[in-house]
Amino acid sequence: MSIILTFLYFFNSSGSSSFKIGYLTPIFSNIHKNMFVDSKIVSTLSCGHPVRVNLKQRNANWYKVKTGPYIGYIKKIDIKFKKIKCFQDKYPKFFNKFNFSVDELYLWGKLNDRFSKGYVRFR
Amino acid sequence: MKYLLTILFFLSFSSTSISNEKSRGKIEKLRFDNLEKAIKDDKLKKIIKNERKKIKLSYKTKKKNFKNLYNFPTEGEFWNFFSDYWLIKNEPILKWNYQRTDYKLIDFVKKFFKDQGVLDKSISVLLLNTPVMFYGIMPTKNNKLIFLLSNPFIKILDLSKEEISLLFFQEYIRNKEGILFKYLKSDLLANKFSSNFYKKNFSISFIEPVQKAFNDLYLYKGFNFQDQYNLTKALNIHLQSNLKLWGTYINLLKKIDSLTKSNSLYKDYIKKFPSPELQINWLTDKFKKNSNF
Repeated sequence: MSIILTFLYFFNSSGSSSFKIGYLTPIFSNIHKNMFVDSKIVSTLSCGHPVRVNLKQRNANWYKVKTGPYIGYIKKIDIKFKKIKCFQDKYPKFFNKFNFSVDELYLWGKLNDRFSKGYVRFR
Repeated sequence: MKYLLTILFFLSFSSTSISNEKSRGKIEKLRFDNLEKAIKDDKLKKIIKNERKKIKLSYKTKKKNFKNLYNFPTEGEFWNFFSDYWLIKNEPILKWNYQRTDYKLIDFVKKFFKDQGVLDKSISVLLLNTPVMFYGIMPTKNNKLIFLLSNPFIKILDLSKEEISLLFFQEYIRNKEGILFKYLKSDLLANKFSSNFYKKNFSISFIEPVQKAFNDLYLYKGFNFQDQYNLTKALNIHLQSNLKLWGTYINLLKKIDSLTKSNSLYKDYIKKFPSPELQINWLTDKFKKNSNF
């Protein structure tokens, strides 16, 4: 009986896993407290930063994510579940030459928020 | 019987000791005479050679990877990056960071572009809360399109989603025809794309002329007559297959024309996009008279 229960437990936990690791794709993007761009910014993250995506808590445009101590929402279009090569990682010395201030990096995250994005697909 | 057993025991002992001596002699021969051959047979030399090759290769790749950190972006990546950079630096003028209502514009724009056969493109739209810049496309490459549009401009002209999409399409054609890059490209920059500045003096002073070209194009000077004519010509070819859309475009130009003549805040429009009145003439009169236009 106990063997069956243990098997069921593991089968259940692996089958219905609602979390997945996602990676940010824009150069900088913000985690918001709620599912709209004007809500409070919890943290600003750089491209390639891994986040724990809660696949159950989402709407058409937003994912609920957790990274370190921060929990909030990120636009779906800004997350990919496969690691990509970011601009900062590809050209680190070039990027560092610009000496961006913290305010500018924050503004970069805001710029990403303000873009309305979409993709025109073949089908 | 006892004697017989003892003799047999001693005989067997002596015979084993003799055979041991013989084998020792063989080993000694192997060690001293055929040592090199034995090593060759073991392929140890090959293994050492391969290991040395591997070490050399890993050292080379490490050096190459380190050098790659100093790469200058490719043309497409640079324009994507610099478009963002320019928008951030000019936020106080362009005023894109303001609270707004989501008009669900992007869904309409996506559908519009799909209907025009523009596929496999990532579209981004940024609304500006200023009449300083009316609309435009940022220089991006590959499959990315960034459109800018002034919110006061939309409101004063009461633009529909279709008219906005048409403006974006016009800018898309401008980019596609290479008109935009004529104003932004510089030889100094062209030499830098995909280059490497490892152990070289590198400063970002090269962006100053690029930044100036951006400011001139988007904020002060705009495009010249010839380029505007070429754009209208190219756009006419695209829109002629859809007369309803062609009519919408003419109406849009009429709206802009009357605005520029009546509102002093929008007088600069004619300087940047010369000119709606001429465009209407080019499209209506000449197009009717001369189908080759």
